[in-house]
Amino acid sequence: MDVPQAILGEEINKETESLYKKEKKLGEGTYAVVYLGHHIKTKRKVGIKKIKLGNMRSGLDMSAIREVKALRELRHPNVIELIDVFSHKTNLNLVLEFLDTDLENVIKDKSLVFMPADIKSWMMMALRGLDHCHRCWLLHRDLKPNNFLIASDGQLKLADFGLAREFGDVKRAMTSQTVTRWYRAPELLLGATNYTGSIDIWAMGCVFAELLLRVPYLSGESDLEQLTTIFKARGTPTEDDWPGLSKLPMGFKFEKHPRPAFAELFHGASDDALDLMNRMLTYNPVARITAAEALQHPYFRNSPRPTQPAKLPRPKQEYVAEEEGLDSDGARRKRHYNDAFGDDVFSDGKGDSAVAHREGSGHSRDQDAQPTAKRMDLRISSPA
Amino acid sequence: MSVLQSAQKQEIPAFQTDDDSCPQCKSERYLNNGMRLLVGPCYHRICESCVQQIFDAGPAPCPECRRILRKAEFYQPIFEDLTVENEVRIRMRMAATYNKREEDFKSLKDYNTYLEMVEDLTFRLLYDINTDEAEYLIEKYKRDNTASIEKNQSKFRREEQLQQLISNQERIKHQQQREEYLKQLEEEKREKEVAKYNLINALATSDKDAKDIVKANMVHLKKSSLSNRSATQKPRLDIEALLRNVGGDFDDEDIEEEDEYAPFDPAESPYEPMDVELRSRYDDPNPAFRQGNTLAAAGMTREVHQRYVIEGAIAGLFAQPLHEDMVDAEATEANFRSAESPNS
Amino acid sequence: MTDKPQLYEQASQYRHWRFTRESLDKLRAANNERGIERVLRGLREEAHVDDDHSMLETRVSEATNNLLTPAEELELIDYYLQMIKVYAQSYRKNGLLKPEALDNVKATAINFMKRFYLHNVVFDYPPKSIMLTCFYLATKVENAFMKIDDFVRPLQAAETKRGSKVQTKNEDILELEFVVIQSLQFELAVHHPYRAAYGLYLEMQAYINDAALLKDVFDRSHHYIDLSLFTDLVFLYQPPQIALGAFKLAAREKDLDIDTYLTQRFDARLLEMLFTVLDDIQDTVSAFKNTSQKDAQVIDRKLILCRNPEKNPSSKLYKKKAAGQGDVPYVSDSDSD
Repeated sequence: MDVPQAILGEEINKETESLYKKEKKLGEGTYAVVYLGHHIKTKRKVGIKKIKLGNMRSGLDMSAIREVKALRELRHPNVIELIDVFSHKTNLNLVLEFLDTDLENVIKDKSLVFMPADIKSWMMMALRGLDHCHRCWLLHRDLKPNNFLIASDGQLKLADFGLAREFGDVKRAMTSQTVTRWYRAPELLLGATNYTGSIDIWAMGCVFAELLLRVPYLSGESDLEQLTTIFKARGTPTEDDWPGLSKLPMGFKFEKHPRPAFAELFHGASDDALDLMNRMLTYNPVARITAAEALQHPYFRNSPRPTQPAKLPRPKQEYVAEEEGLDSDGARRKRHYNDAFGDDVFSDGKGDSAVAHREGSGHSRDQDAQPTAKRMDLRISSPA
Repeated sequence: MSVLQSAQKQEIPAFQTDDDSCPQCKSERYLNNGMRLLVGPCYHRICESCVQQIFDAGPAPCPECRRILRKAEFYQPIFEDLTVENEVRIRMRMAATYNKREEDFKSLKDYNTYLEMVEDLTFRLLYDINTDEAEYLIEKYKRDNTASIEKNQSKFRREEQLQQLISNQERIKHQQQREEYLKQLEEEKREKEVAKYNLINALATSDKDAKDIVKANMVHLKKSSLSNRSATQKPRLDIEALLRNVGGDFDDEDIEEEDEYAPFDPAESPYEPMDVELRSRYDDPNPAFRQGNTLAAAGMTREVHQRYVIEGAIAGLFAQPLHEDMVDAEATEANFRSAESPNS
Repeated sequence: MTDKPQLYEQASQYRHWRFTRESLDKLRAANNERGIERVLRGLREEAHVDDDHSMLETRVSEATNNLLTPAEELELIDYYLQMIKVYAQSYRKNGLLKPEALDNVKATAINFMKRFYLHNVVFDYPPKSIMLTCFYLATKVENAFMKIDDFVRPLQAAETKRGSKVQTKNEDILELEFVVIQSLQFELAVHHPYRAAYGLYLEMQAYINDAALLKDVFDRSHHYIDLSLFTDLVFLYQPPQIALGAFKLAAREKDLDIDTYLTQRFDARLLEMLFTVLDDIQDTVSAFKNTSQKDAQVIDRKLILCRNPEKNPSSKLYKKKAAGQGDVPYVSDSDSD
């Protein structure tokens, strides 16, 4: 039997599925359920996002298709890795790298203090990930703190590409109803139907501000109010500031608000940080800084140096799951999950010795703690 | 380096507002633009001209607290909040004397004890508690520890020097690299020009198949120095050499810090950048732009669109197609199941 | 200078869907063999279903006499690829498909179908049904989504008009979505020569004086790109290469020289390889012939006799298996899954 036998599509799928084992449910949304799992051979921890069908009468969900399509093409240290995909019955399963927390958790954890170098480090990683997407002519279209996942080694990664879409083709119309409201660029709020990476940069600017302020910067209650909120915080744009403004679908007259002095609100920020942030929140999308340009901004070269990812502040994880169905290795690994230095736990297969070594670290864990429906790329925007 | 020292190094302008006014002569800043408000050791503010008036002749009492001061004791504070200024200065002074570091102690406990002692003295100085005794203790410590204080001071100086040297070296190396690279680019450009010129001539004058002409010309080019372009290595900083320059004995652990000063590029990417140069004008038949500036108002300019299509035209244009020998291993793995190995 | 990869080298199209002609042949031959095995096995299994072995002999010999060769498989598939193009046009006419999305949807659907059959056999999945699913999937992937009801309605209308007894239903298309996407290994981004051709057209303007002629050639290149979609060129070369090949064909037709542009613009070392590639592309496109409807019908009739009952929804075997699994699609599974 020397002749190799052809593998058929369904067989490939089954084989892929057999590589992974689901462990525990991490959380659930209307769109998907997320499980913790691992690769059976290498023991690598993964998150398995099971996308439920049945939400869409028309078969496979657009969101699922967008996410799979985008992630299959993107490979970058600051973009979440889609390790594998398989379908089981009528569910689509995305095997993603496992990331235990996100930037929203970090910002909200008041016990954490941010140094300017920390903020610089997160911004740099986020911009690198975003720059890569834009170089591939892909828009993310849903940037916000909880879509920046953070790995155990501190690396920040873009995630949740359920709204992602190619741009550059000037003839294709796109929806302006995209991006979570507080991070939505003004051109979207004004109804633009063909746009570029500048909408992602606006969102990044909002995230930058949020890192500095520890609260969302531009939080409007409705779409119309969002615009007003922006105008009050940044001043109402004029046709001079923003050529073509009046031609946008909703670009009619607005209340005039003056441009406030940003330095007051952002009193902790250095001049170069403020300058970069302002360039990201420029009204005119053509003048708005791009991801590539942002990375060349002096802010990143000036001192202080961006903090090494491993040394960035992290929130304490409360995640501990029930022990059902786990081998003893898995159980021990879970016990030390919360160890602040327990990064070794996630490395391939070598976890055991590292874990054993930490046994005497003196941290006590409450193994019966309630499992909190934690992270893992959960906040999937509802379809369309 | 303390905040104050670094502040002084960078010459940060002292805090000023338009409302500043001298408590003595009542002159205000907005009427008198160049007015400098100084402070003395008692932290009472007074403008420069008043200082001259009052203290030019010699020591005199401070107008606010009557403490005897000399003209030279007045300076311009950095911080608006003078309690901060005071604290910073006191701590600077303490740090100059109490300059031991954790590695100088046998145990963490000892280091902590030392720190507590220093803080205790500092506290006393700050809040004016038993300052005489505190000053006495400080002087005593100074005398008893002259040697170690000096040793640490020179250690810090050497560290600073090393930092400077490293960054200078980096700068120079980068310069050199850049120049080299530019030179190489020039070279290449020139050679390309010549090659093109020859090729075009050949194409124009001969009536052989274009492909053959190109092939023939290839032989020439391959022999040229273009193909001999050697990869430029990023030179590692020669830390040993630097250390020798700086002199003194360095512990090995100091070298670990080197990584933090290594050059880094914020825009670093695992991929080769696609640098497509756009021309200033294209005859672009795209009807979309005829609608006026709606597209540009949202960021979609002609340039973006042109870059999109031109990158599409260039990316992969010179990709090598698969060869026989490259294929078999990959194809077998991806498309065929080998008869022997069962599914795991 | 370290050798970093180019962006395009990370695309799934580049990493997983490139072949040589020989490896394509091998793959298809192996698939065909596998397919034949599965047919025979399926027939035997079906005989077991109601223990009726009477027909087995006949059916097996019928099947064996009508087995499709790899070449016939390809011809049949090609016919349905042409259908994709026809359908694309008709959906544009009825307004469900926007004209600016037409090229991409058409090309992606054709590509999906070709890729599908690198990991499947026509004995299991006749191209007729797969074609519609590929098309529908392509509309989603290329941001030209239409509801399944809207998609199926014109099909049903046409069938009624023809007096056809069979009516396409939503399930027919949606049922196959998973099979198709599995066979694509969930790699959905396909790059086509259209964008590259546009870029080349802009690029060439600085080197070619006759602007009107250049525009003419560019417009004509579209025709050759369309032709190239049916060939295996997409598995051999990159979209810009195919676009340039199409350009050359159009240029030859209209008597415009673009070789000079190439030699002025690019390095001679690179051009050596490129010219070989372009020649191959031009030859392949020029020599290609689509399958005629008549030939397709002949093969289709053969297929009916050698279809694998295991995958045939109207067979006893399929129904038995489906009943056994108790599967009802489109209902969210419980978490016990």
